[in-house]
Amino acid sequence: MATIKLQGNASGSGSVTLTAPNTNSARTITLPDQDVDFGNLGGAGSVKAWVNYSHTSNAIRDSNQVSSVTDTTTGIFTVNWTSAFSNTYYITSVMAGGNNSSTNVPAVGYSFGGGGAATTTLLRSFNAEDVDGGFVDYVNQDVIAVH
Amino acid sequence: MSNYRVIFEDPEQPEQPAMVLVPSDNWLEEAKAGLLPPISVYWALQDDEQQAIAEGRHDTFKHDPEKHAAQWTAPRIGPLTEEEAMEYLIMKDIPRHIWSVEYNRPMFKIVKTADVPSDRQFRNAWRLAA
Repeated sequence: MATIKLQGNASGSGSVTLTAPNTNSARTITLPDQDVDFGNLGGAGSVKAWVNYSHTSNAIRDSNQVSSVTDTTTGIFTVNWTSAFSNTYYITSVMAGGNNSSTNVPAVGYSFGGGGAATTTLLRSFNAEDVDGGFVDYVNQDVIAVH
Repeated sequence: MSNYRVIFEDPEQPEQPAMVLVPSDNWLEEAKAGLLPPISVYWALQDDEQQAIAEGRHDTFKHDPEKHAAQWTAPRIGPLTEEEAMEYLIMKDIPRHIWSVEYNRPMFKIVKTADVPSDRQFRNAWRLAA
């Protein structure tokens, strides 16, 4: 029979806790038959924050590591990160869509922070339609940040 | 979904319409569970970054590792009510000059979610009522 071995770390002094979910079912975690290193999980190059936001209804559908979104004005909103990034070299992707209109093809851009300055705590995004360049709200606004 | 929104104006941008801050439900749950650090942790980071911007060295700016880590290592402040969490969020996510300076009229207001207009036709004309 294969065995499971839990091993501490002599260099550290903290404790690691495995926490059960709030469930009434019996659950099984099946480990893969290969070496797996979780050492980089959540480390450099992973998605640190994301939000699914509706600008038309000004509602956050779901998010992670986002404390709030500010509806700045038509077509412009600001995502406030829960935790500040260590620097401004994180990468973001901003997507827009969902408007049932042939003229509302999104042309999405973003600027960091207010007054043209980059900040580690927020991302200001703006959305222009491709026909006349006017700002427009979108039903779906998705933002992810990788660092 | 949160019961509250924060409507605010920026006195440094008088042409700008009123803005509406929407709290994240996940963040609110963390606040209610007592998982937030003291607000001073965020202020210290904001201050350092603003100083770097003012001194023209923001391109190469990095947070002090100890101050940055304090976001997760500082002692937690304990559970907040939703109302307390909204006050905390104002101090965290709304520029400080908006809520820390006394003006001749209110610059921000916590309102019920249902009180925010759903009709966005005249969105760019929104102003904060006295």
